[in-house]
Amino acid sequence: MGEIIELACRAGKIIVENGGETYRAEDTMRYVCAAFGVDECDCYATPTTIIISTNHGGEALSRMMRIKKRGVDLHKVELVNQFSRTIARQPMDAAEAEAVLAEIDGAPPYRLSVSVAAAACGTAAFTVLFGGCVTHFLSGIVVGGILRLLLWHLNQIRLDYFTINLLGAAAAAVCGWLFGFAGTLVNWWIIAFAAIMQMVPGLIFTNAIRDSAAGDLVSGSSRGVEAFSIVTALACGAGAVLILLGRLGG
Amino acid sequence: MIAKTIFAVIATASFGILFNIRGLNLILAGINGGLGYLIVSVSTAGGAETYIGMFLASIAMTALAEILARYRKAPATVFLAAALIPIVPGGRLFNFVLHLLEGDYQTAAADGITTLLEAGAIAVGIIAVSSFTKVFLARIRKK
Repeated sequence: MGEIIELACRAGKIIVENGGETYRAEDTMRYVCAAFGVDECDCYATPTTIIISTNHGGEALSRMMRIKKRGVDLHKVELVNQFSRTIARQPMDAAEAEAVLAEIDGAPPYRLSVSVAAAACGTAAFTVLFGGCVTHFLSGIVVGGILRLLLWHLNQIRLDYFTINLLGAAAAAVCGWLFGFAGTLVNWWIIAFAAIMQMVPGLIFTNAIRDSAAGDLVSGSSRGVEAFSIVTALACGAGAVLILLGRLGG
Repeated sequence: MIAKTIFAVIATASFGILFNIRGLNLILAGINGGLGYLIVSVSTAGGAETYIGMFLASIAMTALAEILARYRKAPATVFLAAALIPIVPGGRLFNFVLHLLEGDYQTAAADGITTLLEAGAIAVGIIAVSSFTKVFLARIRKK
């Protein structure tokens, strides 16, 4: 019994940690409990906590997990989602399910080199969408890649998300200025903004809305606050640099 | 406009990699991003306010994401989160900050209000389609 709610809780935790919606985490936990024939199961997920409580033949058990890590890995969300559907259709024993979940949790993300290339490519594409020319495009490739490398290192030293976004946006503005030939390129800030797009909280914004729409108001509003504070950090970081460069005659 | 749409597809798919979306799903997410950008461009070119274009785009994108989610057996977020990035009013938000810092408060206020309107329009589009899908699917399952 204990290992079943442990299992359900871990499945929910993987979903919340990697950017899944709250209702998806709760549904997954319910599916897992139902698959093991647990009579009654109530669960509650927020972006920072998961609580599950079961009642099986009069014996009540509960488990709470604190969520510290919050990243984006939609592949893991997809895999856990499939896992919960599979387990509902064809039951497996707890040890087997445990192994499947451990494998999902350990699934590696794209290699650093691939994500740097993707950020470079995406930034370059955004310079075009923002109305940049060929020079913006080429500088965008370099600045987008540099910013991704920097963000990776900032994540490695476990800074909090506000500071990471603040420093990242400031760095993007500095790099955009440098690769805009020290600000002599017309509309050089397009490069900086295109690079910053990779930090825009698109997923958090989407989840905030989907959570609120599903009635998970606590999760919805806390994700909304998270998205808002990230945007504030980005604006402050980029804005501070723009002011300094403006004062220095850039 | 078509060329920019292709760049929007590339931008979405690239940022999809940062979200760790894999395989065919990545390409489908990219196409969804392109669709949204195209709808915003067409409606803006047709003289509509940008927030109307964004509302229409977010409806179309959420609908496509929900359909793809059923078809590919993956969460709808996979096809939606990265695809929204080309149409979120990021550029306008930065203009808002820029004007604010320059002390041009009138332009800043206009940019700020427009940003809120546009973000709100996207949100309403997502909510409308997500809720409709939920009710619709519940009906089908009951039958």
